[in-house]
Amino acid sequence: MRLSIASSTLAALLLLSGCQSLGLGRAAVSVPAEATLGDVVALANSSRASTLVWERDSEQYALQSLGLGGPLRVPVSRLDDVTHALLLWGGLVVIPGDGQDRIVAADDASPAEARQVDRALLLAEALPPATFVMTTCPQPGEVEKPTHLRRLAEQWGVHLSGVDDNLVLTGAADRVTRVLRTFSAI
Amino acid sequence: MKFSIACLAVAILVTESAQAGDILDFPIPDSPIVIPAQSESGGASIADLIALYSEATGQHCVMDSATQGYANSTPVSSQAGGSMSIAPERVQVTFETLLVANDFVLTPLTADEPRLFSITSLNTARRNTVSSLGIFLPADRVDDAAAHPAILFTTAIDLPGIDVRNLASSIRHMFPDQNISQLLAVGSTSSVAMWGFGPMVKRTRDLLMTVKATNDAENKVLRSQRDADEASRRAQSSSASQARAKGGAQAVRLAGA
Repeated sequence: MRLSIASSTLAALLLLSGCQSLGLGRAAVSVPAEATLGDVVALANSSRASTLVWERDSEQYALQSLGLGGPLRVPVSRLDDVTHALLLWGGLVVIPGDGQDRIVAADDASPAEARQVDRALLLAEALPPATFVMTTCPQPGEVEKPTHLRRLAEQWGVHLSGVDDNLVLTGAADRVTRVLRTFSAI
Repeated sequence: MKFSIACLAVAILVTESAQAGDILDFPIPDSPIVIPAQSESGGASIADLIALYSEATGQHCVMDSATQGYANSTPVSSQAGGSMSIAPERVQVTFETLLVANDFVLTPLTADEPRLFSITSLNTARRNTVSSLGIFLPADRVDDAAAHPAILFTTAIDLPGIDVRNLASSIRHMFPDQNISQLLAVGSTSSVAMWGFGPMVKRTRDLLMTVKATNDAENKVLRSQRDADEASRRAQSSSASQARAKGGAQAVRLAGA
């Protein structure tokens, strides 16, 4: 019985993998060559359950041209990640909400609104890259004061503060992950 | 049954993560790309070069409008006279060399399809924030950076036994523009963090490792000298005490006689 469940699951997986490699069963959307960031967000909103909304004062970023040389085809399964990568490139972060995420300029995002996440989740790259997050990590061994690490974190636009021997990092998930990786190498 | 489902879930996760590509693993075109020659009526611009590269590698470029302006107006500065044919395996490094020679930075944005990269002109306001584009590279992968002259990297190097604060301040002049290159001593640890273009990061790592090797060799010589001095002091003190003991025994014999 177990063997048959295992073999049928394996067969299903192989079939799924085969279909994916042939590009079957994968809906895709086309981003026009002259698209702006706002157009990509609109496409993402039309293809997903939650909604990305532009925070007041960040709407000007929506008009930012992507300068694509030609149309870009994005599988729907990758649309969320691609939208986040482009928002991050445009200097924006996404503040997660209840079914409605807000797009805010990275410089204007308040640490109080960051989603608290475990650093293991960030190191596993399990979150969309522009998600605005806060995490803690232990201060690397011989570093006397967190101020010594601040310059390093600021390089990636990550805000760093220290509580006893713990560091608090706030910023876009992708950037915070880079800081965590650098700190673990110290 | 539960166990099989758990195994299956783990297997799917492993398969999914194994599919995630390396961000530095750029596609290699099928055939050489040819950059047309400059002529009096003009020639290939950086924007043309980006279009050629994007088409040949199946990647997509994003640029802000200020960078687009510079890309359109900057001629590819390398080829006076004839056109330039680039072999497929040399396309990536040549493309990056031409970009950086004209003050443009390349940043891969996605590791999976669709592959996106951004180009940023260092002549725009983005120069001030360009270091945020740096990709973290662990110390054991710094050699990979050498092949990417237009990508900014950050790495941390551990140099036990070296006064890294002193070292960082003594070679600070090698990093005149802190937007695109920097070496930082990390507090009172023995680590330095640095960022810069790929070949610069590798060269600086090599320099730091040479300094460390020299320092280790000097310390070894000093240690063996100290050990030799200590051994000779111990030998002298032992022979002196033997002589004293001998002298004392003679005195006792004389006194007895």
